[in-house]
Amino acid sequence: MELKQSQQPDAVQLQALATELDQLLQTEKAALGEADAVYLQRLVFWQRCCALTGRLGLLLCWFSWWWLLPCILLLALAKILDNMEIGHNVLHGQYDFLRHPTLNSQRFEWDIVCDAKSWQRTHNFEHHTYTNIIGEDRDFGYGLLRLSDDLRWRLQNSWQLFTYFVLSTLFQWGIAYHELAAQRVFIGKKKPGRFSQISDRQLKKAFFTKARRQLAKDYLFYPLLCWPVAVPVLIGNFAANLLRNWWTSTVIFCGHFTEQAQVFQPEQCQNESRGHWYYRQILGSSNFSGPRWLHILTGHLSCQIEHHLFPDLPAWRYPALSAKVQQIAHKYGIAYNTGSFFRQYLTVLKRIWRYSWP
Amino acid sequence: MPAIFQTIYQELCQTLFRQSGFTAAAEPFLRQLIPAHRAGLYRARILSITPQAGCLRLRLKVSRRFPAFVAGQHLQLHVELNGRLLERTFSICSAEQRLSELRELELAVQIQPQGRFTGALPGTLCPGMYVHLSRPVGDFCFERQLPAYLIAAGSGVTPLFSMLSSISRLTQPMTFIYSFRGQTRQLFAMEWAALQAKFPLLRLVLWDSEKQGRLTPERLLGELQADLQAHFYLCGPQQFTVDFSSALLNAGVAKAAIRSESFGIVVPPNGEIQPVVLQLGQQSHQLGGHGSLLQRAEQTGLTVPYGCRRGVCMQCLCEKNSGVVRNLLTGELSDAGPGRIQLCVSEAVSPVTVKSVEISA
Repeated sequence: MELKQSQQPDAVQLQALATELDQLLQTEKAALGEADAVYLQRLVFWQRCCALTGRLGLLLCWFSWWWLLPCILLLALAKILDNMEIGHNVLHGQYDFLRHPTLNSQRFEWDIVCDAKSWQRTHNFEHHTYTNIIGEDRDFGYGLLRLSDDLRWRLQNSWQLFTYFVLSTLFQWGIAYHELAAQRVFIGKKKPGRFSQISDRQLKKAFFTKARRQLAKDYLFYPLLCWPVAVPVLIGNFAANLLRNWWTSTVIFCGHFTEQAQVFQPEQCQNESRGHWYYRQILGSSNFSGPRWLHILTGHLSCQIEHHLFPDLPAWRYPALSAKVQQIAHKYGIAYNTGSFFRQYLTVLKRIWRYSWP
Repeated sequence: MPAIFQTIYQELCQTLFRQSGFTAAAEPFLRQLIPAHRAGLYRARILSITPQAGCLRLRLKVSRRFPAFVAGQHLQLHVELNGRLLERTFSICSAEQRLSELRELELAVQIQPQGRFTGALPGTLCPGMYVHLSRPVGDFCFERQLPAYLIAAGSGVTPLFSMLSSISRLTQPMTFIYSFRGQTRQLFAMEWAALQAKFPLLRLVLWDSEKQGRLTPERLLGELQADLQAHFYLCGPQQFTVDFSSALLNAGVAKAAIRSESFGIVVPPNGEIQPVVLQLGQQSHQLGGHGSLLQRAEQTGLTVPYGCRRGVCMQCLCEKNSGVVRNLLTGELSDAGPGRIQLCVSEAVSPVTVKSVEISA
């Protein structure tokens, strides 16, 4: 199975593509306002409700172990909403125009071991600028998985389906360690010429501070606060974190590693035009369809293509945009990769399996 | 000891809620109980809105929590305009006693029809609505040392009016000079007579510059025969306070006896390189060079956080304190007040001060 690049549009077409998409962005930006503020406030309110009822509910588990289950699901839901629809989008600066004192890209901190600033440096910059460029977007396979023939096959790739499962399980730690791995903070030799805005010491400090707080919260403070039922509460927190890890990793893998998601060579992208950048974002991402609640649970990363085109537009606006984007992509003969959630996920597994072998 | 408790409390809130305090964490719930609650700000209900002399006079009701102020201080008025929480600074124009007795405050907001903030207020605010206030700050306060000259130009009258109406009894002469351009631009038109009646020792000069010509330092010293031993309080546009305080200094008034506060809108001249002050941590830097603010910071030799340099990743986001910037992507001009800008896509079109947003550990 070879990934074929569709007929690439020429410079004039790319320019026209950029103009159309820029126009779409401008119209959407002009509409920003009250509705976004209301949506965000409501979302945060319901997220807090889930978190509170989940945590209080865990306290009642003494009358039946089965009671744990809905509470874990509620807590996991709260964590998923906090990470995806609130955290991811707020940290992208999508809601900065509201000038909310805490729900903004500089102040917000999420319920995950990854330090928000570190994530912004790797994700917002590296991943969104160099999306799916081999060797430059380290989110492509996370340095663990081989998802394209452009990467040399190594023995450890033969069990990469298992590696993928482990990565999924420990996903929040993977994200937290992502920048430290790039800078070879603990292990490995520093890559020459790799630039970092902050020192290794600052990196380590941010990593340990956030990890300490998260671990203390879920596995020390909350269990101790609920002392007689400390163990079930601890288990509940652990399970909620696990569910969140699996869900986020699944959504993210569906966004970039589906069978048809294309990769690019650094040479193709030198001095690239805005049009080519748009073109690359469409081809490097994939959407999946589903009901509204599914979109919200994914933080609207189910509209990964729209997100990569317009990363700082409030995400709840993506589904309404997707028809227009699809139309534009069709007009310029650019493949618009979408399908049902299960179909897309299946192609992800297929791709991981396919590139396990040379 | 309290410092330690403070640290422990903050660490606990960071750990449990990833917020600076409990109220910030509980805000979504509190908003259900207390309409328009916002952590860190004081809520105020609009009692009445009276347009007067190109201003909106806002009478506001505040709760018991609102701290006492000293006449002459200013605060920030936060208003939610189309979802965005925007703020501007205004002087309080009501008496201190109105706050302590009635829990009432009054602001006179000058309307600039083109202004993004004040221009939108007349169509947005209505009695019964909630706005938000910061704690009153500022050291432009009446020292109650007499004799005194309170000299105001235009809407600079607001803090001085608060000073005058906060006085309960005048035992020595005091002069209040208010210069305005035409009767229609005269603020507090209904209140002057009552104040004059209340304070027989007050010499009130309502200077209509349309009829009497511009009020200049020379005319103050000549026609109005200002007493050089008195204390002077000046409030008005930048040029006004600069002119008057230098003239008074030259005439032999002691430096400590002159207090001034000024405001003003900058009109951007075209094509010139504007001075920019960038505050990083505790240090302020004058930016040289040309281009976007980020480029200028780098040409000055500063290391500023950045990422995509195309206005996407928000890593170079800074807090602009004042000044107008042009968005290089959209050509849009910002307003002159505080706001957040991305250095990589902003160009100064007026003198600008920006501050990096501190990263909380």
